[in-house]
Amino acid sequence: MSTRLIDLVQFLFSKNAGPYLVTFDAVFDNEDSYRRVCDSGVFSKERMAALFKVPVERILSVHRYDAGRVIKFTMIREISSGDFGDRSVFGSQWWPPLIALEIE
Amino acid sequence: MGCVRVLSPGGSLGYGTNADSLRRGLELGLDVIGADSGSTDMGAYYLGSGKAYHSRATMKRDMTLILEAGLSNRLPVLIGNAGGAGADVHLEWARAIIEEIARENGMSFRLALIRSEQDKGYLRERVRAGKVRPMPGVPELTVERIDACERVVAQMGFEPFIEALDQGAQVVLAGRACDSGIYAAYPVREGRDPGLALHMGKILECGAMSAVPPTGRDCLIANVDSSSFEILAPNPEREVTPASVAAHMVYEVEHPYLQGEPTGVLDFSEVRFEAASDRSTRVSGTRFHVHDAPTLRFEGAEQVGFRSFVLGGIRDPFLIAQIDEYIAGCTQQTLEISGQDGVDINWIVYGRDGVMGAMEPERDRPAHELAVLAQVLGPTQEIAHDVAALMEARMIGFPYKGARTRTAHVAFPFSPLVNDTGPVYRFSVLHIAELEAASDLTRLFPIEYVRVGSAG
Repeated sequence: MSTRLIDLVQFLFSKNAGPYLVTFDAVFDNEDSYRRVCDSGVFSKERMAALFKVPVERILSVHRYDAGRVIKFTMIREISSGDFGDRSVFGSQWWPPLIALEIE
Repeated sequence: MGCVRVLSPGGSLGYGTNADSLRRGLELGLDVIGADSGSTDMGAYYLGSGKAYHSRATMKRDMTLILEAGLSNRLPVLIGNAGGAGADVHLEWARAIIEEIARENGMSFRLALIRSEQDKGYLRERVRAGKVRPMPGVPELTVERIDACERVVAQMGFEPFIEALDQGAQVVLAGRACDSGIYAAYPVREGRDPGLALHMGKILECGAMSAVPPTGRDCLIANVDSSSFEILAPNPEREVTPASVAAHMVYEVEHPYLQGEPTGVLDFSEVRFEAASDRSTRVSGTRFHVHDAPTLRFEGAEQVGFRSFVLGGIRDPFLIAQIDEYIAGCTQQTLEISGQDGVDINWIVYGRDGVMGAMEPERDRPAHELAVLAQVLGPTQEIAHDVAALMEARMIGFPYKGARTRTAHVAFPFSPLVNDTGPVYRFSVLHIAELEAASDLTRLFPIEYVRVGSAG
């Protein structure tokens, strides 16, 4: 049975990692949920590029950090923080498309 | 080897330090207070314009708290990233606040001012020598881009702070600095492992973000010994757990366990997080891979133009249904009438895709109300304003198809209708330069020593 990502995580957020990158974190408060999402493989460059409708080259990296039970991916911004046309100086509020990600 | 006890008053000095937590921290016993007061996070405007990021009144309040705490307990106070962006003008802004506080409170101390603004010649030479690389996502650096910047700063490591402490500074005010170095300097000077101290600094620089509940607006303490450090929150309503610290290590960074510093790379892959008490966590196992040649990150802000904007709300369902045609029509007419070249027009439609733009997956969901922000970037403020005024006039009366109303299609919340926000900047320099010599780690950051307050 599939579950929405939001029902498995403690936090989801997006935040600048310097002015040219935005990093998205899924933080888990239990090992089972963390492993389940890791094993599902949904956090791939291709899936994240498709979800956010950006070219796959703009997904710089996908990482997991077992000690912190965090899965993260980092996107190269189309417009750097605070430049003309930017929509989020801190890179915040870009994570909600992750809410309904289906996890097997 | 005893513990070195470091307090951070919060993620950014000038946001409003928690005075109760600071008092509790002092009761626990401290050796040094470190305070980070800036970032690139707010965009390039502050570095470019020379304006300070924080409110002066709140900065004065926060600085008064930590100066009183430091001076009355004989603790060095180290402040980095003065004024937000750390250029000379920001350093002078913060210095004036410190001098005012000293005067008003009868304080007297030896102050070190560490400059981080750079002569462009050094970076130009490094570019020509092929020793500069961009941060990920940033274009390659050229001499033209360096020359176009209003100001260039370099992010110092802990070395200049140690030099200032060696020269007897009681309070250190520094320009642009690596957050970690502000907190690591004193423990490193006391003989603690640099990798461990920098790791500790990475945690303290965000205040209590690594506590539960997390916040950047509260104090955090680290007790650093020879092979580990303990993290605790002086506020009894917060606890620091192994999970909360571990999760924080990846906050606002691209790589979860490799993080660059001027003299090497921090490696958290083997780090252990263990409960030290029911409210604190012990961290150990940090590794530090020393660079063959030290590096510094340079930051420069280039002006790209001046902005004016018009903001309005739309409730008319017939207009909402053809918002794209309306925007295209207003833009086209504005450009035709103004005859201005070199003007950039950008629209943000809140209620549809205002936050996410083309990334928005629910763009086609029906809206009953929209906010439209029309912004104009021009080569001068006057041109930007004139074009925005033309746009406002189009927005009022653009003849969209099937209109069931007369003029004034937009509900404007402000008079004046056109608002000027001043110059717009971008980080054209955000690059890592390999240094010519290790001595540049201190040579590029000259220190001035001044006696503040009455002589004695």
